[in-house]
Amino acid sequence: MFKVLNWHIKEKIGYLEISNPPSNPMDSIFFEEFYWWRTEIVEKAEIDSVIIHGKGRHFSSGAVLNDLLGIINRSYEHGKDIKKISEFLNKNSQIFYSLKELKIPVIAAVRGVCIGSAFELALCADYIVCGEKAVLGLPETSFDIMPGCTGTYVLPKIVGKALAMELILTGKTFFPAEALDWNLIQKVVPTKQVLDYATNIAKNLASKFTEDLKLI
Amino acid sequence: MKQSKIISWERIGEIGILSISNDKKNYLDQPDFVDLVELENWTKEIDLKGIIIRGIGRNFSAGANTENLQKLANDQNLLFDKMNKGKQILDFIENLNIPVIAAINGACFGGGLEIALACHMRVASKKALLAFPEVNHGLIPGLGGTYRLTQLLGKKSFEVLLNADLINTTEAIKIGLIDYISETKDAFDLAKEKLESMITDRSIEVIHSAMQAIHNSNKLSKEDALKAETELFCKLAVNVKIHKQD
Repeated sequence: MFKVLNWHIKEKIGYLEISNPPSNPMDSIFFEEFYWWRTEIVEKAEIDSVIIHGKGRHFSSGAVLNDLLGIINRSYEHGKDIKKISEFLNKNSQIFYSLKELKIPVIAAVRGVCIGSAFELALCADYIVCGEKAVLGLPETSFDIMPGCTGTYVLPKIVGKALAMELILTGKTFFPAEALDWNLIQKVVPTKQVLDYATNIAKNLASKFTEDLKLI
Repeated sequence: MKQSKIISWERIGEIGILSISNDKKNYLDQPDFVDLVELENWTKEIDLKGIIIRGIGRNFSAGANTENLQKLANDQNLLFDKMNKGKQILDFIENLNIPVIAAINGACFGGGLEIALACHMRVASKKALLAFPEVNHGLIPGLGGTYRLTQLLGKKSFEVLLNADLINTTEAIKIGLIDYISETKDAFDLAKEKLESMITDRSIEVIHSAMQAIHNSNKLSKEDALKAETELFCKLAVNVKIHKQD
C-alpha cells in the first residue's frame, strides 16, 4: 500500500512505521503517504490508539532539505512568488498538527535520531517516549532556514518563549534526559524497551483517554 | 554611548546593550522611562542581532519611586498618558524580532520586573530578588505586568501578585519567573554568553524570521500562525538557493 510507511494493526493499536532505513528521511513521498494515511486511513481503522515510530535504529532524520529547496525554488522561479508553494507546503503543517484532532491518543515512540520535521511530528503527538540515547532537536537554523512544519508554533506552547527561542536559534540537539526536565517529552526508557513501553502506554491511555488531554 | 532619560545605549559588536542608570536603585522616575522614538532608532541600527537589558551597579531596577508616582497621580490625565507610553515601550521591546535578554542583578521590583518580563529571556545572578510589591501600596502592576506574568506562570502568578513577597532566584527558577541563574556575580556575562550562542553564525534574516514565528505562537490563531510559519520558511529557503548560486 505504501512505499515509505508501514501500517499495521494489532490488538486495536495502529502502528505507523516510517520505513526508509537507515535514517528514515521525510522525502516528498513520505509527505504524500502521510497525508493519505491521515485523511483516508487512520480514522476509518478500528483502533483506539496510534503509535508512530521509525524502522530500525532511528525515528527519522526529518525533511530532505534538497528536496524542499528544489520544490520551493522551482515554484519561485516560475512565478517569482512564494505564495503558491507556501500554500502547498502548509498542508504538511496542517496534517502534522491534525494528529491533535484525532479522537484517540497518539504516541510517538522515539529511538535514535529524531530531528527537524521528525521532531515536529513527534511534538504533535500526545505522548512521547524516548530511548535513552535518542537525539532530539530542531537544527534548521544551522542550515540558514527555520523550522517550517509546526515547530515554531508548538514548541513555545510547551516550553515557553525563552527556551523555544534558545533551542530554535542555537539549533542544538539534545538528549531525552534534558527534554524530560523541560516537560517536552513524557518518558525515557532503555532503547530496547521503547516500543513495548509505547504499547503499554497506548493500552493504558486508550481506556482513560479524554479529548481534554489534547491540550495545545 | 547614547542616552535617553535614564537609559543608555551602547554596542558590543552585534549586541546592543540598554543600561538603566538612576542612582543606586535605578528607580524608574517615570513610567515612560525611555524615549520610544530614540529606542526605535537604536534598534534599527545595522547588524543588530540581539539586546541585553541591565541595570548599572548592584541592582537591575527597584521600579517606580513611590513619591514620584504620587506626585504624578495628582494629574490623572498626565499619569494615564505616561502609563500608556510606558506600555508602548514594553510592547515594543516584547515584539522585537531579535532576542532580548534581561540580565538581572540585585533588586528587580515593580516596574523593573515589568521590563524584565517584556524581555524574551531572564538571566539572574544568584542573589537577585524579584517582586511585584504594588499591592503593598494599594496598586497593581500597570505596564502589562499582570498579563505577562499570567502568560508566563499560569496560576502561580496569583501568589506573586497578591503576596508581593520577595522571590529569591531558587524559587524564581522553580516557578519559571527566570530562566537561568548565573554562577558569576554579574548576570551580564551569562546573558551575553546565552545571546551569543543564539546569534553567532545566524543571519539577520534567519533571526528575524524565527523570532517572528515564535512571537506568532501566542499572538495568532493556530491556522494563521502555521500559515505564517510556512511563508517565513519559504522566503528563507529561496534565499538559501540564491546564495548557493552566487
